[in-house]
Amino acid sequence: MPPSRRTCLALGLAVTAAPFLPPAAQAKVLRYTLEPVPIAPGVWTIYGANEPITSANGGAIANITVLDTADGAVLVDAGPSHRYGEALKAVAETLTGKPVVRVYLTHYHTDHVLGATAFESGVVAAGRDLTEDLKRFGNELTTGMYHVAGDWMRGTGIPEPGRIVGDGVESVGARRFRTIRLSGHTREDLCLFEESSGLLFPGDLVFLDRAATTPDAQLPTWRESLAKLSEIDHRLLIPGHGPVEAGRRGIDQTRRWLDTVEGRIGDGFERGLDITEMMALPLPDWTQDIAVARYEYARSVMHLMPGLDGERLPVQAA
Amino acid sequence: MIIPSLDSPPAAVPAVAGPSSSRRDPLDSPLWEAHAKRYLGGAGVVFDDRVQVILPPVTENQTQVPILVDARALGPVDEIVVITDLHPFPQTLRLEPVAARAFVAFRMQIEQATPIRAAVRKDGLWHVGGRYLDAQGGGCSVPPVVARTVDWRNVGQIRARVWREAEGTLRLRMRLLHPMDNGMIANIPLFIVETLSVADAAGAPLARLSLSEAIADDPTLTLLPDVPKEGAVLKVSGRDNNGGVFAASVPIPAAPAPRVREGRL
Repeated sequence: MPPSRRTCLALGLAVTAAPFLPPAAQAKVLRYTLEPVPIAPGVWTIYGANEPITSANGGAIANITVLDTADGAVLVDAGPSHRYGEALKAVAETLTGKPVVRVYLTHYHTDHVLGATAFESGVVAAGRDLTEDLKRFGNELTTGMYHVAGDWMRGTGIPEPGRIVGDGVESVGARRFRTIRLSGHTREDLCLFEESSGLLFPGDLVFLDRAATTPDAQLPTWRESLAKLSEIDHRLLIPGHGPVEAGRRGIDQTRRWLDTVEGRIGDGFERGLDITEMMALPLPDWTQDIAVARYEYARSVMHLMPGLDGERLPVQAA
Repeated sequence: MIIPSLDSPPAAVPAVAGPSSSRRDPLDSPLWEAHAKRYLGGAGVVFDDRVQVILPPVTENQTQVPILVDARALGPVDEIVVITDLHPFPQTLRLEPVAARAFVAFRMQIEQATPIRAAVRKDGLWHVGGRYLDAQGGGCSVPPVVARTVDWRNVGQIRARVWREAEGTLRLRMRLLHPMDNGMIANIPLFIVETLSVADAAGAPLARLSLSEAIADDPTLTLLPDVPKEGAVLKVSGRDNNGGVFAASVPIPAAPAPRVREGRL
């Protein structure tokens, strides 16, 4: 499925129905409070909020990681806005005492990429498809974010990665980043495996204790990618959203979530339910501990149902 | 905000109205008064929570917003009009549930954040319910970034399936392949399905619909027609503004065998 206008707008925009209320006027200058948590020697993760993107959190919902190397700081993802990118740059320089020499972007969703405008283009590294998608849909991406996150987005433009990443190994200082281009969450999900520390960065192919988002999802491909990820013998897994852990709980839980959502929607379809009715279906008990489960499930119904209507409703002659 | 036609005491207001019924627009929309005059033919209007408009928690795709109108709590009704206040085509859809429940689900294009309401006519009075839908601008009048592909060879194809609901009702879900070009995008003329109807095998109507430019492409609808007295199919037919006529017969699944209590041995 080629990315459509829909997929670009569909970024987890937490717009709930409210009667003619203007967005709360913000008088004070908005600042992100970034709290890096050490996860390994010379590696810190800044956790995203387990929430949808709102004007309260400024879109800071994804995990961003800073790695110290002899040559400078390496970042995995850049956050949701230019202002976030600026704050991230300062934090990374303080933590490592060195400039940022590489920013890897895992996939084109706004909460991961828009902060990249705070860095020089030559430092920003991304896959070919992501780079192309930013050119084509960048305007839609930023428009959507300005609508939802408001003033947090001030000064945010469209990143132009200057360094194309393929499959291979890139060395920065003593760190060796194996770059693996997978897909399924979006059409290109760049995964990184840092060989010297055993850290695995699957981007948003893995969510942990936070419901996965599906605006651009291809579920069969996503499952194949999860299978490939589970073959990588890692020491710590840094999911796109959720806690950093050893082991494969994130991989398994993401797969289970996708199976649950797809199963629920398939069952509802066979009962004749339309989109809004299906959104009201109960979710299984195990999902109670998953953040924003109901919200993401409702979004997934909107993403997946039109496809089912076009395939599973039988063609009827006169 | 009082509808002018209600300045005189409305004789038609039923003695027992729902507890939350009122005549003040709960959504405080500046356009409501004008729309009510234009689309509701001057009849009395009362806001009534028994008319449910169910919207998604978030607008994922402005060209395919799923809307569900459920006024079954009112019992049998004469007509349902869906009105989108801030929209180039405010009258979204009109449904006469001749022999069907007061229920319809469909998908629409929206132009901006707006109140969306259903006005349901019963015994000469409009019962109105609605919700506010938040969204960004530009679903109708901005061309899509990626050119939409239209399956021209199959325009008019109808996919549909019927289920049996409880209490003598059927559930019809259908999708009619049609571009529904609303005429607002340069060099793409108006091309929409204007009418749809559902009838029994003998042609007696169960539900009649008028669609507007606001309905999303490939109109996808859910209706709850009564089980027809005769025949094992529902006849769906539609007509677009270019004179294209589309029709389909949708088989009604056999009624489940009456439950037989197992005798104890």
